Amino acid sequence: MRKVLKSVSFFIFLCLTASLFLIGPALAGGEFKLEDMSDMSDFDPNNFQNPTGDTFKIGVLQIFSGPGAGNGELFWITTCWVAHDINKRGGIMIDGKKKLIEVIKGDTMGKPATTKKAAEKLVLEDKVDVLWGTSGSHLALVIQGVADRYKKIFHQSLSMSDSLMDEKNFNKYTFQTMWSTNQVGETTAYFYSQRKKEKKFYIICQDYLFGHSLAESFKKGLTKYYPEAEVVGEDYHPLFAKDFAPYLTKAKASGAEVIFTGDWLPDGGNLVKQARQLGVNVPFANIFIDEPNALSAIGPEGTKGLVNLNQYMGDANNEKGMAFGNKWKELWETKWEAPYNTLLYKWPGGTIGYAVETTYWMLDVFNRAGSSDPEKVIKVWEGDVYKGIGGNRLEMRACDHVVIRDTYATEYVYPNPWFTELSSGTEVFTIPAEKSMPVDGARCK
Amino acid sequence: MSPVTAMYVAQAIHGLTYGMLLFLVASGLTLIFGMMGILNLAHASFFMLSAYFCYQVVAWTDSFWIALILAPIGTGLVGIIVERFLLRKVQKLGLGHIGDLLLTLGIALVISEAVKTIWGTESHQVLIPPSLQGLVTVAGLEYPIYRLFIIGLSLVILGALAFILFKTRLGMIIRAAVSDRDMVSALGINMPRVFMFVFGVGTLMAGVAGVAAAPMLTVFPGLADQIGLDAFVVVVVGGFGSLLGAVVVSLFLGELNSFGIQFIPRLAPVLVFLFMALVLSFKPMGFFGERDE
Amino acid sequence: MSTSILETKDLFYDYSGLQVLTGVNLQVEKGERHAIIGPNGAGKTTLFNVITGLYAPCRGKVIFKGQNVSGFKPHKLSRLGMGRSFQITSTFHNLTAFENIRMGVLSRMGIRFNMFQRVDKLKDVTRETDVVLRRINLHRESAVPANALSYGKHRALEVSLAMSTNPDLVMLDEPTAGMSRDETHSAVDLIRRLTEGKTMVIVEHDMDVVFSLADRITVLHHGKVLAVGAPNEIKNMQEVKDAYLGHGGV
Repeated sequence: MRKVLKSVSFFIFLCLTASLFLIGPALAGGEFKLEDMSDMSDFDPNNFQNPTGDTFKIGVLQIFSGPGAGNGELFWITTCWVAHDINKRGGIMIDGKKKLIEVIKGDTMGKPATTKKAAEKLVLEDKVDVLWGTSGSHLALVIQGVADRYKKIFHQSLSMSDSLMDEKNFNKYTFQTMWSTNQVGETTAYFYSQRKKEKKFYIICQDYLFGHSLAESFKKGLTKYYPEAEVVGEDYHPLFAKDFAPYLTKAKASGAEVIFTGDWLPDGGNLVKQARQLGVNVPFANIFIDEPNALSAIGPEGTKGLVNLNQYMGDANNEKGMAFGNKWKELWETKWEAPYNTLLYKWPGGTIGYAVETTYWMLDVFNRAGSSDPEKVIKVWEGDVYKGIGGNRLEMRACDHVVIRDTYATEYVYPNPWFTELSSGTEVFTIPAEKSMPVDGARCK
Repeated sequence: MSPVTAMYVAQAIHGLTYGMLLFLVASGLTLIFGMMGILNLAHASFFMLSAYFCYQVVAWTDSFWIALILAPIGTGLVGIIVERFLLRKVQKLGLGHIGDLLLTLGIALVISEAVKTIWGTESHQVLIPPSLQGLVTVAGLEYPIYRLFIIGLSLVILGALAFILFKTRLGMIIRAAVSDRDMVSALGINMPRVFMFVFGVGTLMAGVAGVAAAPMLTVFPGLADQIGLDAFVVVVVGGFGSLLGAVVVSLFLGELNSFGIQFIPRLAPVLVFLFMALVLSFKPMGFFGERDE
Repeated sequence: MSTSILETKDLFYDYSGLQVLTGVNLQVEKGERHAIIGPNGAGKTTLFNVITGLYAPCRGKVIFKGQNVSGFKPHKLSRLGMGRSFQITSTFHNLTAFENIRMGVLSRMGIRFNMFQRVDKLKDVTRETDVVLRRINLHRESAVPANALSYGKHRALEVSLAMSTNPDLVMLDEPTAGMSRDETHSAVDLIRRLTEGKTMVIVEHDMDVVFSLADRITVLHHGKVLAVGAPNEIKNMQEVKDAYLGHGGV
């Protein structure tokens, strides 16, 4: 009898061990699988239906009013897309039961004080399970403070400053899936060092902390990967500048072969537009001048030769990515109405792509943690590896919670398969993750 | 022309372009202040409103030229309505400058919310009309036709304004009213009507600038911010109510901007304010200040 | 009744609770030079401003040429024939002497409606302006901006601006304030010359000016009319002396 019991328990032990080995990989990391995605044909971004009852709540912190409200609009569709999909799949497993995803807006109005208020309201009144956002490192920092104080997970998906996760600002509740300025600098420098076509660079950035630190990262990257290159001039202009002509005239006279700019819109678009109007045809290496509506105003000729660097990029040669992109585009063509029917929303490339992708990742992490208890989520997300929309690898560095991933560069050409109104990238150059690393925070040494 | 000379000449023309645009905005602001004693905080909002009108008219008619005529007129009409039905009523309450400031600030906010409600918060694009696209080459220097067009347009308006102010009876009245509007009405002139006219013309000129700027910039809700600030500097430095001051200082600021960026880029964004502080510490009434109240 | 050009009936005005005019009854006869005097704070300037339409009366009436004009705007009163000057020098100091006078000449000639007409092309206006400048001895300074004129000439310009609409009644608010003795002297001469045969109301501090110019005087005290009479009568009235002249030592 004893023997029988012994052998049964040994057998059970064996089974358990085997199953651990079998399930192990699934526990260790997730993956976005297109075949699991719901039929999204009933998804209407203008009319997203939040589920009721006991839900899992995402608090989206963005500018939902004022001049920057277009931002809120953009990240509303990306978050709701993921929520709609997951809800049709039955939700995620939290505390032993499936919960549907609810999306709640928090209007930052682009100001620190309102950001703090909005984040606190989401935590205290709406009782969200996770905070999501936001554009502007100074605002992200405010939310990090709130996350730390109330012990809420903050998925920092949109701000790029290197300092957000440094020794001073790091807190264990915040996870940054946005690439950082150092990654941008290395990406750009590495791309040009491989291409070896241009050697003279001119920097035009916005005159505030972000613009300056991006320029520094780029110069650092050049020293590291492309020491033969030369920075022939640099200028910093005020935000929402009205006339770029003086900068452009200087840049042209400097003999620069490429102008590197970190400008976001509308400045970035105005910069390129005025350059073309002035007959300055130097290409721009940029990270934010990929917004199709702004580019279409400059036209196919003017947008030729732009080099866009991004952490997510539509690539016609990537089957998985294209399959997802085509589904999105079909709905754009047939279903969506204003404001979601403009060129901006045609393809889920760039910003839309990484916002969607990292939101899938975030929900997958919660699902695997099986809980919204931050301690459990932290345990799962730290060091987690996730396969993104195009099969690309996303890794959450455990020591300082920043993302490590391949990045991309592309040169705009016309014609291209994406748009008839503007130039766009067809050939995508991948910069391997080890060549575009975030700064090694003190915590990682 | 050597490339270096070409660069300096181009910078000078850039300065002229922006200076003229600034003049169109600042001249209305200074006239309205000089005559009516009203610091119109909504002035730059009319500039932005006109850019939106331009965008809309182009969307309907596909013609920049029609927009160039209709948008400023529409803006001027809005200005007249504001003066006639709001400003005049508030002035009657006798709250002094506080009343005007609050009202015009309120109008600025209403315009900014209205454009967001009507046209959304995204950026809109206006294209340069085909006939003004491209570059011309003068003495080896390539320069965009559209920017030259802006300079020409502004010169025409400056000329028309100077003619009205210095040659016509209305101009006499406006200039006289800058120094003493009570005495002008004691001479039998219906000042409220003149005020309405001046307010309308001032907003109309801001409107012309708005249309002219639209194809160079994007039409978005923050469009008015920077030019509005610069226009206030022009009015303060040039002297409240002085048209000559507005012309001179606008052009000077345009050049200061261009050559500041050329030679001392790190300081360029604050040069305007340094200049203002410098002038005001020596001439508190501005260069051509005429009002002595 | 029929000879008075300007009348106020039981005029009240208060300044946010402070009663400034408490029932003023004033009568100005056609063709006379009428002075309003009174100690500081008697309400002279307020009365002046209510009559000229700058303030609307709280109660009572202003009757001008037989018409109730209470609350009429200044430009309307001007068109009805009431000219005025201000206590603060009220020329257009950024315009030249010539342009100043031309403003008045233009409004007298009634070219009100064609606002876009070129003024420098109006020959008769230019001619008339020159005549006025010569009359007030300013023809040599016609191209000088008003604020560059000497104080006396500046005031002369001002009075003549007030007269330039050829009004039936001209209201002058302390026309000699701040002038030297000599300047006052010539200003009084000028005013007398310019207002020959006109009706004039003057608010004045300087008793020499009042007694040399006025045909009749109204004394205001505490917002009411204390006395009315010829200069000689006023000089000798005991209550006027008590209220005002007593301390002044005239």
